[in-house]
Amino acid sequence: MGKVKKRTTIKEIKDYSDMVVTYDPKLDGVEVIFTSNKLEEANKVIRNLELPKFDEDGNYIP
Amino acid sequence: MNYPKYPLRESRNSTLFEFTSVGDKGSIQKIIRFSATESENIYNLGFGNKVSVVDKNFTVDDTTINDNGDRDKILATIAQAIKIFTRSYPENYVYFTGNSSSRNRLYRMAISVNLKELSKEFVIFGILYDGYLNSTKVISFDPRENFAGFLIKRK
Repeated sequence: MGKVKKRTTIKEIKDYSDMVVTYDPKLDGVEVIFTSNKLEEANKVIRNLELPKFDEDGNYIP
Repeated sequence: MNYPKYPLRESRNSTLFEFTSVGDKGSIQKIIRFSATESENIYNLGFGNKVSVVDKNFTVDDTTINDNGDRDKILATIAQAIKIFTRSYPENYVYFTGNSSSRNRLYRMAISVNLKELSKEFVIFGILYDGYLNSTKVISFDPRENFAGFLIKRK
């Protein structure tokens, strides 16, 4: 059973050993509009992408 | 990547991050967004300057190059955001690409320099794209290849 990630408030700091990150509720529910069309471009590239395959142990199969 | 990094602020679902770049040209608010794509399990990494906020809508300029003198610190901060996102969504790939071939070379160099350490936690792939044939191919990251984009996934 995986370890449950602890959520923090804005005053708390998550300690991922080398990470400093705080939860900011002002970022919840935000819509982001980028000035470029990179998401559309990304969709063109990855639309028919064949994702890499992995064996049962999670090793990449070239 | 044991480089200096900016402190990050994140949304509850870890798909939106904000930090402040501080450098030669002052303080610039930066946004990192992981957006769902048409392909299941692939999220696009968007990054740029927060230029306006209207209610809950952020407009982010992802085309301007600021030359704020903190490139490596920004790259290390983005890498941190990828780490956090993929901890929450380990089954998902993160796709990212630059706005130009020179920007993709920069990303390729940044990955190459840190490949040994990154490979402890991630599998990294490059995407070869033939625009003429509209075909794509995913291969293991190779520092010698010119990739159209990159895919990264937690091991």
